[in-house]
Amino acid sequence: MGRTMSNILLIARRQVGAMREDRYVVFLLGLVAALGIVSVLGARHHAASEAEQRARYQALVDRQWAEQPDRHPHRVIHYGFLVFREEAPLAFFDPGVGAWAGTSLFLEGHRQNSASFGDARHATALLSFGRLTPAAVLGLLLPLLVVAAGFASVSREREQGTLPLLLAQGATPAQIMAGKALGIGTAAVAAALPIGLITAAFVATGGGEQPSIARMLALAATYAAYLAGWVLLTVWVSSRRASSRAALAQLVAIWVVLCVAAPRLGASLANALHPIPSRAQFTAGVEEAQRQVGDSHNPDDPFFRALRDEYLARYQVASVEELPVNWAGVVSRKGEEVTSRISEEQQLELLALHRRQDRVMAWLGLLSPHLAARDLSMAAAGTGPEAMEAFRAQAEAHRYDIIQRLNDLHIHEIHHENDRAQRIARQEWARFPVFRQDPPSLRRVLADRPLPLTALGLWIALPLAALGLGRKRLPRVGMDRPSR
Amino acid sequence: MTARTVLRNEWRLLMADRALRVVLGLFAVLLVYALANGVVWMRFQARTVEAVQAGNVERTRAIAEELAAIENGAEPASRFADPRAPNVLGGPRGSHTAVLEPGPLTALAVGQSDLLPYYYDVNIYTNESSFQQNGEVENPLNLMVGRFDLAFVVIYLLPLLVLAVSFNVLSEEREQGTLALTLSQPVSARRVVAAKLSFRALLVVGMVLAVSLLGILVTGGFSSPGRVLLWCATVVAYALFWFVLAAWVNSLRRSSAWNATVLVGAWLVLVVVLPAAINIASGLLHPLPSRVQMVTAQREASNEAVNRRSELLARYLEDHPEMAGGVVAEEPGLGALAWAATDAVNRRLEEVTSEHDARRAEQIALVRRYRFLSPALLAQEVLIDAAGTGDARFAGFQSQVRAFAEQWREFFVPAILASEQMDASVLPDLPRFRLEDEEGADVARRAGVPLTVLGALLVLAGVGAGVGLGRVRGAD
Repeated sequence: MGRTMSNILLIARRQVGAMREDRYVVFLLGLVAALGIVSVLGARHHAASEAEQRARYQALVDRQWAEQPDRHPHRVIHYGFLVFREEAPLAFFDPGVGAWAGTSLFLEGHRQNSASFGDARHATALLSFGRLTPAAVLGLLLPLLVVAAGFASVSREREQGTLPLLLAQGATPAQIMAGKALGIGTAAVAAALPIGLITAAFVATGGGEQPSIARMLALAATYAAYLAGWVLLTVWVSSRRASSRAALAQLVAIWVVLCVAAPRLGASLANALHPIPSRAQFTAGVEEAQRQVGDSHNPDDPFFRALRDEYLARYQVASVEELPVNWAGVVSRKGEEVTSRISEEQQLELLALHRRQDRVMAWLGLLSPHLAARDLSMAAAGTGPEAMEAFRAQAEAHRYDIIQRLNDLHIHEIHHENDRAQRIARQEWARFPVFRQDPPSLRRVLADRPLPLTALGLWIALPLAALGLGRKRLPRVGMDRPSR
Repeated sequence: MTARTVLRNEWRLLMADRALRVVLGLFAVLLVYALANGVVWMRFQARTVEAVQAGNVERTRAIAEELAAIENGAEPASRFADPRAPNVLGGPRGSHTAVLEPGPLTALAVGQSDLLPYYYDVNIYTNESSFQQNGEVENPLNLMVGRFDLAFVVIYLLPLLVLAVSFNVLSEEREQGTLALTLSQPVSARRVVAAKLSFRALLVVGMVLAVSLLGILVTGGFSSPGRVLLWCATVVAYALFWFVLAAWVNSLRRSSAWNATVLVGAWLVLVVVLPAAINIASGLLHPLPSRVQMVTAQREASNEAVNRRSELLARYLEDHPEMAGGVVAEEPGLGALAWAATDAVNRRLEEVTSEHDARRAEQIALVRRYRFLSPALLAQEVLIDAAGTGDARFAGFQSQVRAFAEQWREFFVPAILASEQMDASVLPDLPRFRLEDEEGADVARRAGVPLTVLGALLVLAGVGAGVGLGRVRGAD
């Protein structure tokens, strides 16, 4: 056992030495680490100023709400209020889909406004090149560093004729490959560690809401597994190719397919399988559904006439003026209930489409670990699609609650006679609940992702198995046919 | 050894390499798939545009019908949506949707067309915040990833293919010992490399152009020949840049493996790292004021405006005598008061937005300065602009919609202020949105600078390659 370990360490040290001599690898390592650090600094700076503004304005909006003068409740329904989406504490590390989802919601009666002001709409076409986020550095650039550091790991020993020497000195093929993997892994760790440390330092010293340790660990585990897979794959390809050049070409091709082409191919496939309607179609659908139920502003509408008859029968009176409750408030409450239900149904239908698209991507994650790692990274950072959906759903629930409270005030506190002239005292406004965001828990988002978790597992297991099965052939590669 | 012999030999050599055959075939498949994707997207947009325009016709028809019925003594269907009221006829119920037709080459480059709105419902309440609403109900995850279109294949994948077929164009001859033999003929290294690369360029660029032209043919893009020409020129210049860069690296007389790593590194830096870094830098150096501020400002303004409506109305009439047209009701109606408040909110919003836009312009200026560093950025800019899916065309559309909204208000506001009712006679005179699309000349003018710089980069690399290859001797 001791001999095995020492052999592996020896090979690893040999690989590290080879990489240190290769100026190209050293340069790339420095570049990736520097880009990673710059991206963390930049993202952190941006996130901090955004969070500060958001908190300031949310406080302002909340105060404005509480400090309203005496008002008629229906006026307050139209006054509405704003909620801003709070970014997850780790959003600076992986912003996920945040820039493409709305950041604020204007909540008012009678309608569900869609979240607006997605950041991406304000950027230029340059954004399609992607942003240099810490997650992108780890997920996109580090694999390429691994490839550059390791494509020649085994093949060069073969080209230089040192492989037979190593074998003759008693190192088994398995030990050689384990040592090589360890050596390449060192390079990956050397680049990733500064990024991880500076992120951790920011999280530790930065004020505000703290991310859970579990989320940080989940991120670390995701990227560790993802990069380990790349290291193993690199060693395997290098061990299977007679020439370093062929190994490099093949590894770069794999990187391009998995990291550059696969995401867009996946998205286009998802779009083709589950097409999304246009906004015009979507709003037309909502309006059509609303029309079928009835128009609360139309006194002769059959739906609301039926409601009126029901109330008149219940209270045993002849006209709505004789009702002990405010009929306008009742209509408003019922109208809100109906329109909210319809909007929510349509919204959920649309979201179901989005989820079906995401599921296509999740399956493709089995083919491209980059997709799986990105998905898990967003989930762990709390910036995945479900975080955006949770904000929307919670804001809608909050809106509905507030609006119906106001309608209840209208029904019970406002007399129908001279309705519009009456006011609710200002003290009432401060008693309304304040919006609190409750992002989905880490446990839940991870439990929702069996496919990406499997994909990352396979990403390590498959090259490992290939290495294990192919180890016997290591000495013979390139012997039976001339290298090209 | 003539150029023909070189070409014939090259063809045989390339086709003998199984890996290369596979790569070329795969590239062809990706090109066709990307095109199909773009065509599907363009058709979707065309269908949406059609549906939206049909909506315009349908709304006007419904209103005309109800107005006719009212004229014949019927009651309006709902007193909150009486089409005779100018704030109803000019409001959401009678709104007119302004539409931007898909760019002529959208099928080749989706560009910004999946992010920026291509239709707006315009009514008297249209203001700056209308332009801030989220466009489509797209899946944010897909928006983040971006589209798999021809522009993507050209900008990201084409350079890699170019590098794959040319990274060892000279180094391989040396490694196999055939260089001395070749150069013992009356032919220079420059000629050999030029012939070999021309052949490969013909093959690769030919494939891209063929698929592009197919797409243009299928979607009827040939009606804008200037754009087609610009697209083709950019593809050629961008591809040639990578070929020439490969020739330059080859002229440095290093090993094939060294060439490959350096060229892939150049691709990584120019196509992936630099654009992403410029993104970060522009955000850091010129941060946009938070949109949170914009939203709050709008609310503050509307809240304040409602309380001071009479005062605002007086000021409005003073500022806009043309809107009142001399006929203001003695007792200003509710509609007039509401309008004054709406207008005050709009003015405040415009202030906040213009501040925001100024900061955004600074950010864009920075991006525009540094885009010269990367041929990928230059190519992308010209490609999507040629396709009609670039930022400029959408900005032009938006500013025309803004002007149209103003026109729409001018049509209805006088009647609102005078508390007048409208009837069916105004329907033929309603403003209609007519897009003045950008001319080919506008696009060409915008493309001038980036295309020149791309050309300059190409020449620079060409000179480097020429000088380097001049030093190559068979005995190296």
